Amino acid sequence: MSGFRQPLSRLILLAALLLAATGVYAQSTSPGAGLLPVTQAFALKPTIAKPGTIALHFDIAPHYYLYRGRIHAKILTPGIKAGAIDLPPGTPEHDPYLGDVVIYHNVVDGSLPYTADGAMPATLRVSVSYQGCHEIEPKICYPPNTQTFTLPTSGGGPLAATGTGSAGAGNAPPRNPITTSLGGPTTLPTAGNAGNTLAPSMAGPLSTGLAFALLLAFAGGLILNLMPCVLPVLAIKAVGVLESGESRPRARAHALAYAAGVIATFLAIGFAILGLRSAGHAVGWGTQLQQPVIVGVLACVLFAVGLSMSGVVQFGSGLGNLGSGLTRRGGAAGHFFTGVLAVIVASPCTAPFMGAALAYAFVAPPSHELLVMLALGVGLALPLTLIGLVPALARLLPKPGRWMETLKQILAFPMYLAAVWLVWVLAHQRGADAVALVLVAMVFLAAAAWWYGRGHPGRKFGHVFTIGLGLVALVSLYSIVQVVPPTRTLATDSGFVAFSPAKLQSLRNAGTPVFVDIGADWCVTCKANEYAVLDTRSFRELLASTGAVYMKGDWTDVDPEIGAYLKSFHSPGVPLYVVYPRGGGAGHALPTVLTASLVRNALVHAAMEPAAR
Amino acid sequence: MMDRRTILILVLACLAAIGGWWLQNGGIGTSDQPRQPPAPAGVKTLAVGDSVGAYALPDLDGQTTALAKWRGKTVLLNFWATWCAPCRQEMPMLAKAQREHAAQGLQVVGIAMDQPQSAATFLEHVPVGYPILIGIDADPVPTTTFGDTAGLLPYSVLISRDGRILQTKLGALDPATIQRWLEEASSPKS
Repeated sequence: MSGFRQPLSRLILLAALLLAATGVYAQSTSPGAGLLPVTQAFALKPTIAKPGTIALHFDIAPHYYLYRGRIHAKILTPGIKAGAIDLPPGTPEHDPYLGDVVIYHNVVDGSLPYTADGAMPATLRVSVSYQGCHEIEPKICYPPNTQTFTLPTSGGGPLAATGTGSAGAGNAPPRNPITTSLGGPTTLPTAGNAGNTLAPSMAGPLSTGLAFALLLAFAGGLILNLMPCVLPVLAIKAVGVLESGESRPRARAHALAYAAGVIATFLAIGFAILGLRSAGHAVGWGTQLQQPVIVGVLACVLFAVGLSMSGVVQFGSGLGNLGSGLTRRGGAAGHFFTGVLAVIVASPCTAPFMGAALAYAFVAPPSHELLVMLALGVGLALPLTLIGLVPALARLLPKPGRWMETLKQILAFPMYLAAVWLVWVLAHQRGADAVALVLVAMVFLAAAAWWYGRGHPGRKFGHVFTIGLGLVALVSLYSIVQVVPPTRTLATDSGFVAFSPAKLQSLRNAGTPVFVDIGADWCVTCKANEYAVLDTRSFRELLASTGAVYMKGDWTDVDPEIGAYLKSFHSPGVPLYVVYPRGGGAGHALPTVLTASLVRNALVHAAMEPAAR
Repeated sequence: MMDRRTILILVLACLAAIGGWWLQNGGIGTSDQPRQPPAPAGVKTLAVGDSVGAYALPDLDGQTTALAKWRGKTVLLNFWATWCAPCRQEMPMLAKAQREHAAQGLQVVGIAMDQPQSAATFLEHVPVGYPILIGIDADPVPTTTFGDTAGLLPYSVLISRDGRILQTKLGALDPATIQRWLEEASSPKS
């Protein structure tokens, strides 16, 4: 048995360190790092919400702002007269040179009325110019940007957008804006920096007290043990428990090491979130899986751990004759890193209760945030730690024996399946090229592991060779960075519409109830909900009978628009389900784990809402 | 707890991971500056080390002025506009730097990416005392030519006494950076 334990521990240690190193990478490329292209910093979506009015909707990325006085629009289609542009009040700011100016954060909903001299053409060409800045380091301003859109007068979003130019003579602000002027007070349901208009009423998680948040976090951590994405880790843990069933002090030491690993990782995540938060980055639970490289590394880690459990690879036959004292300590380190790995692999999952606790933590003062993380860690670590600490519980476990080897080999298969799942996620993110790269990495990893475990007379060369093979695997994994994401085609006839804030706004303006579903391929909870509730015939019938529109957003890859939407609901990650009632009222978020009756109640209620607004 | 070979493997793996991260983030030199989009096809951009040659722009009176006019001085080009708050904030500091470092051969030149009228009105309120050229009507766009392809402001370029680009910076300058730039510019190799 000891021949197995130590190599596994080492492998897990290696994996954990690798993941720690790639974690640095994930943070540095998270959305918000660097400066966004102008059309992402200020994402403009014009629509003709009702005949005679063009709705101008800007989604402004966090830490960017637009000048109210520098938003101009004109209609280029001959025979169409534009009225005065109507813009919401915004935030007044005093500028030492310009005097009192008005700026916008988050969202701007403006409108441009128009009239036709003669017959209304099928499409309108509208040109919008705007200018804004980035308000944290590096503090810079974007040059005035002019975009031209072709809109169908029958309603809906732009058919074509052109002229997203950069600075310069050709794209200077319209020097003689013929048709527009700044409007006075507005009746649009937007209040400057009061937040995303799509989500005005989400005080829930913020008003949660610390004690309640801690309770939720603890319960969430406990339930996390049972979530499907932790299955591979349960396999590792199960083996760990069985191994440590030999003597009481050992069991205790291992249990404590495991708990320390889990809690330390949660605290590390807590500190990382604090750091990212202060640097103004978007953070979310599971967002590291938006980085294809991390997905690739995780797939390889699970694959390697699987190989080791299968016994295909006998790591460290040359290392097996170290002193037993060393083995014991190596085991403790291994259990510590099993805890680390448990948290990392658990990250795609959001257990019930956990979402609310994390939402609280992400906006709470630092000390409270760390306490919530601690509670989550204690919750996740508790069941297995108890088994190690309480002899009575440990006695319930069967005696170690030959069957353990068999069980360990059986448990390898969930690991392979988890690796398959991650490769599938990668396929969605970066396509066949990335899949090939990660498979190549796996082959070289297997080769390196095989050579390492083989034992070899020419030791020096042997290790150089192992390292060489491992490096090829790493290079292959890093090459995933270069792979360009394939263009995602969204099916339009599959019963849902793709998420877009502008489309959502226009649906709500039209009074239609909307069911918004934000998910990701790497989000197991999302997939479970789809399988159980959302991909069912009864859900489609429910949509038909309530007249609700099913709007789906995909957060598999980095998407600032969806990130901003999640943030507006204080959602720490995906899934997020929001139901907007008939009549354009405020949206209400549903729990992360859906049931058919819960969704039915929410939608029926939303459909009944009086269209008073 | 572990033998040396295992530690070696771990260290190498970590180094490889960090190295990959470093490469991904642009390696030496560009790490503290946001990456710029590529210039439009057919537009030549100048990089560090390139000579600005006979580059010229009109001044506030419409007189064409070549940067070569200040050959022999260390030229600090500062791209700005009246609609750019961080630009307006740094300009008094640049005016001060001009006064303090004139003896060291510093020549600050402002390039307004703005209408001449707006620039002139601003300069009446905030006189800077260094020459201003107008970049708004030039084609190709001066910011693009000098490597700021996204046209983000403020943007500054340091040019050596013999007319080669030494440094560029997106975002506001600070006195310490100007001091450091001047020391580099006056070191023997330039």
